[in-house]
Amino acid sequence: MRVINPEVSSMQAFLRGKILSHLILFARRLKERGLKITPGRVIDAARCLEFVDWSVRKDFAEALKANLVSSREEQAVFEDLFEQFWGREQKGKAKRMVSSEKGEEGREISAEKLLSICRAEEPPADKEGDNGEKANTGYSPEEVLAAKDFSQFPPEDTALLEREFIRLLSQLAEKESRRRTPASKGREMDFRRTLSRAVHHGGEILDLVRRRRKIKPLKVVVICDVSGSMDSSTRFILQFFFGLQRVFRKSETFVFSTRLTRITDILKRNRWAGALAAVSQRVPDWSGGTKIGQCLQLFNERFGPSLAAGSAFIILISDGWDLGSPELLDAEMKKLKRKSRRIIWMNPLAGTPGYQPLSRGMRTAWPYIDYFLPANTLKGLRAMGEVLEAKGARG
Amino acid sequence: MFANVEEIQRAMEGAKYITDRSTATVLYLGLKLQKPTLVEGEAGVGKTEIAKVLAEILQTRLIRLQCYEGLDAGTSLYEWNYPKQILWMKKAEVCEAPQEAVGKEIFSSEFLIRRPLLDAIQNDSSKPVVLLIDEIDRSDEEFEAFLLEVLSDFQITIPEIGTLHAKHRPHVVLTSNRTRELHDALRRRCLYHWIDYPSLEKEKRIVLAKVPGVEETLLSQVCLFMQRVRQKDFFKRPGVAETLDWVQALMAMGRKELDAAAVHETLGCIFKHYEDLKMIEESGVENLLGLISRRDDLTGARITCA
Repeated sequence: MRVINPEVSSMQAFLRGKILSHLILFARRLKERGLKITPGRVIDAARCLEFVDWSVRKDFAEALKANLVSSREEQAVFEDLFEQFWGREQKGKAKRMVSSEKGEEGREISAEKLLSICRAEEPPADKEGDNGEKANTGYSPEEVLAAKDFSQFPPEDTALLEREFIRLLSQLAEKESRRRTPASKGREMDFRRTLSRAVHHGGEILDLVRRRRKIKPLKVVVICDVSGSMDSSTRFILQFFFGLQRVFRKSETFVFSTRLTRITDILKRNRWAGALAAVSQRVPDWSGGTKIGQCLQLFNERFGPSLAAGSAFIILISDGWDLGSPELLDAEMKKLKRKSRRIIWMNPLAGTPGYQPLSRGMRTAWPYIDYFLPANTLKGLRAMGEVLEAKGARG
Repeated sequence: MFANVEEIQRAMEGAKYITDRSTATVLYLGLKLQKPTLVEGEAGVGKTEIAKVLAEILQTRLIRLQCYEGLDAGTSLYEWNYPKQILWMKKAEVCEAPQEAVGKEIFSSEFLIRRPLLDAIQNDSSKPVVLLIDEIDRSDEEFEAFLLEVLSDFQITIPEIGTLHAKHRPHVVLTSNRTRELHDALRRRCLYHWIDYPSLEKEKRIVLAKVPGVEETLLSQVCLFMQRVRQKDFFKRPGVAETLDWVQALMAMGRKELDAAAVHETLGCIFKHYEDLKMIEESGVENLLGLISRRDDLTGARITCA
């Protein structure tokens, strides 16, 4: 960005104190917390101090905030840090130390857990299956590859699976937009181009320019359950996210068990192995209980507003074993339904012969679901692909 | 121009826009730094109004660009008047006018259709205008990228005419309802301000400023009711715009006080979604009203109610 600074001398006059170095330090702290700080913005913030009476604490805060913050979420971070940094109390600091300790503790456990999930053996899940405690006992090994449960895939086949995901997903990544693009066989006339071309021919309209709707990437939001009851499918599901995020650049991915965590950025930034480690660090409640309703509530509040109504496909992956209140789940599913283009619920149990959506969470969510598909087989994935590709889902 | 934050706040209140110090500060800094201001907030809290009031207190022209999906340079910046050009050429052909002159003529500013952005930049008056780019979140990413370019240098190049510079940088206000995340590059170029729903006191002052004849009792009851409604989990919480509509509707019906019947008759002013209407009917208007008439725990003041 270009920086205009005509009054360097006057600025220096009042920045003689330590305020500037503090400001820079403060900006750096904000940056560490994920705010988008650029040198240009810091300079502008400093220039603002010329115009406001910065001995008035509130004005000082406002001036910095207007320059350094760029969304409502960042505003909360800013206010928090402002209190800590420029404030007199040290309460905030103490609080943070406690929470960071907790975070680390949780991290170690979840990383370990995650590693066991990534390793293909997964003895615990199989044992559970043998004991007949889980509904995936219904799985029959003589079914074809397409119907094979992902938790049964040997480690050397993961690459094959990933390729299969990507092949599937790349077919779907497009949607029509309202923007038009010239096309020789388009249905609509493009008058503007036709006439502007005619100008070159001295006003004779020699050729008609046609146009059609431009293809726009489809928006997909994945919200995945990583609670204890989902363990046996989690490894596959993570990999699926990863492939999905590669293909649908605009997709968003969240995981939840008792809390909702956004992991889109992690999946975007990292390679598969790095992504796994990073996700395990961020997600504090890996394999906890499930509170679908609460997590959807958080999703609707925090991320719902940034979804244009009817624009996104929402894919929920969960077995529907919910510990929260059914009323809340019902209300939040209703909201989600209004926001979404289609809701696809993928349930790892759905492929089991004779499965009925009887769990309380599943029953509650049932009326709002457009498609109910098995989550843990390639067959299920293909079905999902067909849904995303279907004509009725477009436009 | 304004010498400090207080002055701009006073001027805005003079123009019947009741605001708080933080909004005034951001606008003041926007004027001083000549940076665009990005205003976000729930629907109906007065985002668009900010630009209107700014134009009013600066006594300058407001140029508004309403965004929508598919908005492009042709509809926001400039476009040649093709039919006119063609007619002109036909005419020149008939009159056998010299070719070169015609070529020059049809690409002069007379044949240019000016859209809002060009209008804001090529402004001949002695004062900078206020440019309102409304609901930027409704436009698509392509337009956002294009806008970025315009906002960074305030110059526009028209190949046939040349580069046009802004004599005075317009004061730019962008609003967004957050139906889509804006790109970071755009955010970085702007001062940011989030407008929340007003407090009870502020909302009362807003209503008083906009609807001068309102009765004190009705005013307090309506504002309190709205504050309570906003605490509930409706699909679309009503904004200040709804409060103003509602007060005017109640006054038009000759109501002096708020009671259940009055609320039921005018619910359409507050809620614009069937689900919300159903929800308030189910939860009972009386409950919300009852809280108001019995005990006012928001302000501590007693308010009589029929």
